[in-house]
Amino acid sequence: MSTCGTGGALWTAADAASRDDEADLGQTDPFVYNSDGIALLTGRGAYIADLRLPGMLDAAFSRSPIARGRIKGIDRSAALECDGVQFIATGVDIREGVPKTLPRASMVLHASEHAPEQFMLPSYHLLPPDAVHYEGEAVAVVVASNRYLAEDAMEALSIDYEEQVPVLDPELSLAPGCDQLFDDVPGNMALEGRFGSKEEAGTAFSGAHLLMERRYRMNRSGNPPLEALGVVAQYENRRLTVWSTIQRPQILRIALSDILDIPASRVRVIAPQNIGGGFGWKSPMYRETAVIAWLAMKLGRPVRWIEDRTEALKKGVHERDQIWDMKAAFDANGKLLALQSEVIADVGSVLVDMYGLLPSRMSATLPFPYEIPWMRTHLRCAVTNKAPMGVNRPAGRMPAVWAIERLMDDAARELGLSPTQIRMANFVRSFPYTSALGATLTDSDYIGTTQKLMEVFRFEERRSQATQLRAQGRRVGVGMAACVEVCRPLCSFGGALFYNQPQYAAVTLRMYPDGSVSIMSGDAPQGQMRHTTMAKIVARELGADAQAIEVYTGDTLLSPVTNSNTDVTSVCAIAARRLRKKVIAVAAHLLKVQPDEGNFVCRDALLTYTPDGRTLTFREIAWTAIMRPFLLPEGSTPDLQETTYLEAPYAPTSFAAHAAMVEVDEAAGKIRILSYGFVGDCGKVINPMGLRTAISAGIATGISNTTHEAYIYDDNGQLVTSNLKDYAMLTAGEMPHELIIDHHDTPTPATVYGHKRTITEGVPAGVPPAIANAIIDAFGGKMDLTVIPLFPGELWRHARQSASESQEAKA
Amino acid sequence: MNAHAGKSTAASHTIAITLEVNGRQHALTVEPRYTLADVLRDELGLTGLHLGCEQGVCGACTVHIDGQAAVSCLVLAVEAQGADIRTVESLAAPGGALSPLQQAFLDHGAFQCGFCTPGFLMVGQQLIDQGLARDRDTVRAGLSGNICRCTGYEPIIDAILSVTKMERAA
Repeated sequence: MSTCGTGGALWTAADAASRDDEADLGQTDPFVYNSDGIALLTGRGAYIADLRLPGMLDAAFSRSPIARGRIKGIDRSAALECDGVQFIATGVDIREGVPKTLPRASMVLHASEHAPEQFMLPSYHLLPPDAVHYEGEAVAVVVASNRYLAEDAMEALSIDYEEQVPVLDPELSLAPGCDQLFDDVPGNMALEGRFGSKEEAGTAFSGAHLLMERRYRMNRSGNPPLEALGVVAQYENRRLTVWSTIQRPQILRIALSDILDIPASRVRVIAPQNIGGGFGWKSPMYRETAVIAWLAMKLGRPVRWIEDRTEALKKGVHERDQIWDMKAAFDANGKLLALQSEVIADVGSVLVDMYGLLPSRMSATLPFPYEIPWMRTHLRCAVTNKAPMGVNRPAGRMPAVWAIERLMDDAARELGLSPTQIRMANFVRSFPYTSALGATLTDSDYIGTTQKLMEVFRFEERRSQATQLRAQGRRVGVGMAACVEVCRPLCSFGGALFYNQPQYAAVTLRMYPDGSVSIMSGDAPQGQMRHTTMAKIVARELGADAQAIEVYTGDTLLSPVTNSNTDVTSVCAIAARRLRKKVIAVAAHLLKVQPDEGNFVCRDALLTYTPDGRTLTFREIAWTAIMRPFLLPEGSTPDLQETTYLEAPYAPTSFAAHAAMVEVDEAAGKIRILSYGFVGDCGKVINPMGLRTAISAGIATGISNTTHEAYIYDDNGQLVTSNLKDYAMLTAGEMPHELIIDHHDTPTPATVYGHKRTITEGVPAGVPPAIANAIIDAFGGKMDLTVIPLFPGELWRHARQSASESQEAKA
Repeated sequence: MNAHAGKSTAASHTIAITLEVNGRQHALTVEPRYTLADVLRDELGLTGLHLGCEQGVCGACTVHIDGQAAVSCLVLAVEAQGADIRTVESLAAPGGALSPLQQAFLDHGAFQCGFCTPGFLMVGQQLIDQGLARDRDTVRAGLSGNICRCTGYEPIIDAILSVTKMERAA
């Protein structure tokens, strides 16, 4: 099991002993859905584009119109004549000021015994001095007094390119003789990894009852948020402050300090209180962010860049885009005995720190929910002249889930088993279970969760219903899928496999003389309502007045160093319990009693000494401790502050089972999702309404990625889907007519309340195979579906083909 | 954008206009190319509307122009002269009390990051006002010009329908 080394074990036995087993958390004591909600509902949210600084300039990037070529020259004379232009910089200019290249060591994979595979990331400058590698790559930057004028001048730039033939197919990219796209990436292979069983397969394949060899492909798509990127940088008194729509402000500070060569102590990164969605897409340090910071330092004025949608789509990061060639050996009962996967991932070009490889790495090592005795995965990541790959919800594993869950249904059909039967025959039954690929599955009940789905979705009944409807000429089918959700590794050892970064959570709580409390978290929430969660947990555990708690997030100056998207719930609970002890110690002194915690009750900022009922307000206690410390015993410090770090003992895993009932509209090549069922295991539910909303959103993304949301490049490497009409995100009318969401929870001992982190992150992964399996069922199993997204035209062709085949069969 | 910064040249000549926003008159000098969205956000500080695409697709910048929902990124400020413009800032009562629809969004968990929310509120309010929020299908159709990535739409539909139901009961 990937446990944290004792050196990193910040979670103590005492904390574990005080684990909270109250059943009512979040149920009988419901969360205020979102304490920030009032601001967001009344138009008073604080997003990056709402920030104004005196003297602020706007930047606009000129982007490559071609997929591959040399920059022969940039003529900026006309652009410099434009109204309001303050400055123009090219890659050559910036290279003089910033000689270091990206990605920085601070942002890449740990090259360590934990990441044994070979990887070669292309190195590149903040802006390219000589060559472009994908359409939309930033080439030059214009700074002007407003964005209209910056964009005018950008259009007046004259950039001369020598076009080269782009390499767009990942298989061709890896084939011998292909042009090498980057000097430092031999064979265009950014990473090669071999994972899985050490011993040979023996006769597992040759002696198999059923041998399947199938290619499953998931093309380029993703989950970009509705708010694109934004950066505002200010340089004053040798201090650099960067406001950024970044999911990992602490990591960005380290990276900016490194690339710009100034001490981290002079760099402050602030992720705004409100970020308009993240989904992993806002995790990397994009090169534009460093350019804007450099411009602020160079010009001595605040500089802002608010990305537009076309830039966001062209620049990336994109995701999915993997080819899985699977060879699988099954026995007659449907047991999967051996699985060999050859995976090719198209990772695009100039990779944005380690996030470029993370999705493929996560996908290739995803533990399936099945006990597979022999398993090997060989991953090859190909660079191509496309936008860089990067994490998009559900963080890499979507193509792997697509492949295994399609394989299961294909094998079931060959063996005459039902989709449920084959999965039940293979599910891991006892935990912890370490997959041959390395990761450990814990604290789950796959059988129970799937059975619950069967019940609440009435799966078998719907299957029969669909058969009857098909007999009446309707194309209705029912399918399912199951997937493991690897939660964010909550301990740094687990994290080191994929990340350069620590995985512990950290928070500072500070009580003020009036008894109010600020929570300063290193997390940078992007809409997960963590402000609400943190305030609620601290109010509960500390006994503070919820109305007097204020949550500050995303500011590297305020918070301890930590990662983001961590277990803020547990760390706030532990910090609050420790601060409560300090409050009680002061109160005990004032009341002249022993600080025996069991004798004190704290609620709504009022402390009661239960043996005699005497009370003190938090204000009385805090005022004494902070303003009149001379009243405390000799040696006391006026310390009502607590900083807590938390490493979980191991990373718990989650699981979800999905089911879909669909009807195919053959004439239009579209599907209607008549009903969608989801049963997840997220440990203890803390915020039921928030959870339901996040799951429903995950299902929406999954449907969108299945039916039409896609990055499509033409033969010249031009992104065809470069606006939101073409890069079509799912709208309300396409949601399932019925949504059945339920839970079968196995609480984990790895967190304070038994909750598992980020179950909802993984939701989209199960959706495409559930829908595809239902579509295949709608054709009575007489069609094949191995590539998604499945556009209407393609489904229409499938339907036509199926119709002509059945005509032939009749004839 | 700071719309005053442009110098007065052929590319950036300005026009004096009057906009009526949330019941108040504003005298402004704008370039003819400035969008209503930019002027509302940058000149009047009404940052409730958000720019998710500036292509008229995502609906996050929706405002009411003479009672009709419109994406303000595709309207020029000069075109909006003389019209009654309402933004998300006008929904709550002057004292701060949430409107029934805003309250319903809170009660139904109809938002997470909040970026698209002002657009959904403005469209949802129009559907309610015009009697178009009759059932799930009409609401879904009515919301087809707005994109949300955090809710899967279902809670938004629930919230809008709950207001219709409440109004019918009243």
